Amino acid sequence: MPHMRIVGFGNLQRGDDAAGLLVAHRLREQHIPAQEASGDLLSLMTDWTPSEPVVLVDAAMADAPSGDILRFRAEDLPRHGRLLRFSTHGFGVADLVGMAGALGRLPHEVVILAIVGEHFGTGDHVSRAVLAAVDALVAEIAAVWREVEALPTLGVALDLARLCPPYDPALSRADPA
Amino acid sequence: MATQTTPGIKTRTVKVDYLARVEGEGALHLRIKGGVVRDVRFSIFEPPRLFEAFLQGRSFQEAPDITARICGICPVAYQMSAAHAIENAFGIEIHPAVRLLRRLLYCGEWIESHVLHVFMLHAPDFLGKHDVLEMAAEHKDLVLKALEMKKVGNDIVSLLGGREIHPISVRIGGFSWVPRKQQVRAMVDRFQKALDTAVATTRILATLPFPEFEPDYEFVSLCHPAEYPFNEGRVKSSRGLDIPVSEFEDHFREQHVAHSNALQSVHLGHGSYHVGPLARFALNFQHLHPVAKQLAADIKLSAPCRNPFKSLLVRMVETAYAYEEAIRIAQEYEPPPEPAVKVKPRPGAGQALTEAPRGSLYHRYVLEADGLIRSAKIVPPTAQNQTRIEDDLRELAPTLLHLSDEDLTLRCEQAVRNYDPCISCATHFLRVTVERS
Repeated sequence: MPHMRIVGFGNLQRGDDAAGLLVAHRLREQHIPAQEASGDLLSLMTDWTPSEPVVLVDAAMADAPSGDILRFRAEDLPRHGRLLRFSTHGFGVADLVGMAGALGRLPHEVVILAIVGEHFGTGDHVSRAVLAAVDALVAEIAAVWREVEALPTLGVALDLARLCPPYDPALSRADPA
Repeated sequence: MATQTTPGIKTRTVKVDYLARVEGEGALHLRIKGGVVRDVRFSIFEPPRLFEAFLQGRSFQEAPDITARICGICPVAYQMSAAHAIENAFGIEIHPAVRLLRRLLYCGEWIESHVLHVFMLHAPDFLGKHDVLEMAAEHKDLVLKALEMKKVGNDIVSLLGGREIHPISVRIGGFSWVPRKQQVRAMVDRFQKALDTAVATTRILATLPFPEFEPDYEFVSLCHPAEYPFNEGRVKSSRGLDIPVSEFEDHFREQHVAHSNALQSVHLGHGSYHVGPLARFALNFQHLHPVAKQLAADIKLSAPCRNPFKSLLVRMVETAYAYEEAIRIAQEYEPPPEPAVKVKPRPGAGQALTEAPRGSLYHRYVLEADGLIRSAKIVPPTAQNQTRIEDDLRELAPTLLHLSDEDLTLRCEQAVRNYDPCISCATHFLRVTVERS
């Protein structure tokens, strides 16, 4: 069976920043292996291999309504990286992907799903719109996971287009975000 | 970074905003007039965090977990100093196996912290790179090896503490949970491999160009009669001080300065002093394990080493020691009969000083009969080194006046980073201003 890594990022004490962790936690409740990462992000890549697609789920601060889900590929990060630079431990998701690329550890397919939040203060509650987006993403990722699980043999290419359209350089140039 | 120059030339100002690679929010201001450094201020402008105040009235059992939250890089140090101080107050003897596990947990933190600082924060200075991302493009193998070494530290802390940052298993009297013998023994091969990597990468780092600079430091460190220090011992200095930890406050005093929100420590009657890897190395070299000792010899690093730029190498020697110590502990470990001994609170005071990666961390607690904390005092290593950092800059800057503003600023920032200052783990900004008249 092909593998797909799922990692949720965030901080449970910082309101909507918990979004990625909540997605990972809810997936684990459904017996889907998802990693909850709130510590040392850089060490995550030591286990990555080029052939295993990775789905990264995080919160984002963006000029968009709370609860919107931003979807992009690792190749899009030069355009979107600034949305994902707010890690309370210094190195954020954009740094993680950038470093994995520099070190040749970047999987051939990296999908980044970022839930737009509005409250990131210490002790803030997760907003209702973000909780709804968490529900939606859990359902989507779980559906893709079950398809992956049903694939019969090794070497079958996974198609994560359902989670995020393939990278389009033309779009990347046209939309400076 | 922005450079502002007023030709003419009465005043030149070099300003760097938001430099990465120190832990927390600080600023540095140098005023140079007529070739003489008139004013040096290393200021910490993060707001006070008031941990000592909100420990008051809390149960003694909460102290390790509350104080661990002071830092995301060295939470184990806070847990160790809190646990040992309160155990000293209650007259508790921990089981020898618990003592071993606490040393192993500290090994994990030293590895995590030292490897992070050496490769991700400090090495880019010596390689002429802005950050580790830029460094990774050219030194891929070195960075990959660093990540592998660091992961071993993370895994030690995860195994013993439940997670790699802010572990949750340390309690007064021991741990809330201890691993099985096989779980610890199973890590020996990884420790050995990481030790080999540490030795190999340190040999590469030793070829970096290190500026010549050797201040006459007073080194202060915990010293144990038989071990490289983590948790117990006496406080000694390179100028003859030799006191029990209970007398720490009789000799070292924190003082407030207007330009900083953090207190600065001085050795009473002496002035600034230096805690951290250079101090431990100077005062405890004889207790390093054989591989670390040989590594130091091979790279021509002898004790005492007074060049703060070479703290990068000393950290790597300590990292090698931590792997060796982890191997020793993993091979000796037999689980204790109980994870923690029974604790009976009693009124009184207790102190402890343990060796955080950055240097000595002192805690004192006064406790009520019911185990509630009446008062707490915490003296972190960066507060102790702050005065010394300013003295370093005062001595270093006059030797650098021939440099361009940009290079002078860079070298001064590097001098601050020599100390791996942990202003806080939350943000990473240092603002540097140099004024020349």
